Amino acid sequence: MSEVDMQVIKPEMMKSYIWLQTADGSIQQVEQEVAMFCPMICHEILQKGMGSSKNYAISLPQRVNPAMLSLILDYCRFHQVPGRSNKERKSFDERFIRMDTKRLCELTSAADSLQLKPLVDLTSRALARIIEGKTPEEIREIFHLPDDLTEEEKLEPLKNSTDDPRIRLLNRLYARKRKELKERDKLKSVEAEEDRVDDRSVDDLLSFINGGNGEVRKFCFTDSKGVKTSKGKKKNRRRKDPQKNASADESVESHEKDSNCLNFICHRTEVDKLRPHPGETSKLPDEEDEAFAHKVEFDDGDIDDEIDPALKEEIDREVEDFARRLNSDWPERMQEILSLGQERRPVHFFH
Amino acid sequence: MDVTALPEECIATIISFTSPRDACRNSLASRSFGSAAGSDLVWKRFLPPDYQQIISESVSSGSSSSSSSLNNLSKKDIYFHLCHNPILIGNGNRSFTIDKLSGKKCYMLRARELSITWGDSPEYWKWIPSAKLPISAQSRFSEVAYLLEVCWLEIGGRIETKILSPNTRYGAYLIYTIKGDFHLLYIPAKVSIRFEDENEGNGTIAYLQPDTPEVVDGQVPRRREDMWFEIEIGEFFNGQVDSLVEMHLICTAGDWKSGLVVHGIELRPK
Repeated sequence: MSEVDMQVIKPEMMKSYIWLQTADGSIQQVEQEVAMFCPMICHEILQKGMGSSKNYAISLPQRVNPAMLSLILDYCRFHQVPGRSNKERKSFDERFIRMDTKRLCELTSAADSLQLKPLVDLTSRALARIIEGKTPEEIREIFHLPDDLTEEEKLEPLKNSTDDPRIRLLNRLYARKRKELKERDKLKSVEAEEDRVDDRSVDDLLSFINGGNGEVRKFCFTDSKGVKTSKGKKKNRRRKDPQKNASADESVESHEKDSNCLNFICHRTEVDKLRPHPGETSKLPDEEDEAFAHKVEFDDGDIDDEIDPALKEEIDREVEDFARRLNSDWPERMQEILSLGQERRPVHFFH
Repeated sequence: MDVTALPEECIATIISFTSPRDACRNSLASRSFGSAAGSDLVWKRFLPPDYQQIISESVSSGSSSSSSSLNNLSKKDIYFHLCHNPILIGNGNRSFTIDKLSGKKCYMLRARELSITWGDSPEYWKWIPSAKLPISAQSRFSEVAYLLEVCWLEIGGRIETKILSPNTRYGAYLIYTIKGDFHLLYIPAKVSIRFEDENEGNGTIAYLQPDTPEVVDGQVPRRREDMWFEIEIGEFFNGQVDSLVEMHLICTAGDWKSGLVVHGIELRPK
């Protein structure tokens, strides 16, 4: 049928056709209802009035080559028919995506440029199934990606892992410090019965733990060594108190955020700091495990005493230091930490 | 043009259909892949759909500014934060985390929210504030239950299935530890789990004593990363039905038992 003939015949009497042009210059005719299934084409027809003749063929995005266009139109031709059941559509889809990975990638790209979301999802899921469980090298092969990460960048994801027992121990220590601060803040605002414990003097507490109350006599801090440690710790806490007063609210928030940034920062810097004491640190994980494999008492003294007291004090000091620093220049530091945590190795705050 | 070099958004869509572990591992494939793998598009899909609502309900820090600062993080950071930092919800009765591998919701019911027979009698059970716990047994809640002595040891818990992730197989675990002078905890307990409208099903045997050899015919305790012990109470499949799951542990044989410290009951995907 010639073009002139087509213009004479009434539109309702035959299917309308749309003209599409791919990047390589070739033009083809497609049933309008099929082509309209693609939002991008739909937009071109309705908003811009394109596609009604050869001269006004709709230019398709570069990512759509004739082979892909043909596949996409097959997809549209099937799905735009309203009467199909879900089962039919599903089985069509399953047969449709049986193609090699390269074509799946091309198809995803082409469908994406035409904004045909259902097809993008379909091909994406198929590709997801393919890459599941693959190593980075295999992924590079499938997608023809360049190996353009530096060695340093390849080490970045380690910061998300908290499997190192030393890091876990540190995190626990930090968590405990955080908790102490939280309790102290609660003390200031709320009058709860639990505060009873904090209101007692140090000696009172010691006598309590040492056997004033028969039921919990073996609860914690049983041996003298442990008592010394706890006494030292309690003194520490009280000393810190006046300092923390000023920035009570901030410290709660700061330690909330700590859980994010400390995990980034401390495992790089603290672990580095621990290295100068090879004797202690190599002991740490084993001793931690041994102390609890068979003994099941609550001797808090134990785990703290496994760490060299000097090291422990160092850690205590650094936590204090760090907390104080965070409290003093809080806003910009936070920005710094968050952006550093994302992009590069964090700055060593401890030197 | 190399058509196999997909735009980053497409790569992100593909990755979002894999798993959190794949996303992390494959972020090392290339720069563009890494960037796609860390994008919000991907991690939003891995997070539970209602995570924002849960965060806003949390009372963990007592200040609303913390939940908004949480929302300022990237979705990936929120994901990992929720994996490692339990947030307290429901007036501090429960804690919420995400299972790192699957992104499914995990909850822990605190000891106070459980029904512990004789739990309110101070001669049998004592409630210890967490501030007094040693570092080896840190509690995320404000207190734990400590068994002074009891003959009838019975602990129950219940949770609504609608707050759990749908279409997931869950396990329920009693989180506890043993205090120094424990007594008679080698006697096995009976544990069971069921939906509220089901009949009492078969239970299994669980041994609370930590050194129980594995050859026995029941559950043995496992030492967790956070140093508490756990014993499996049971498992169930959470479909789409709105129901209540009831977990139960009972040990009435033998004489006076003592020394158990109950942290809570945790539910996590299996």
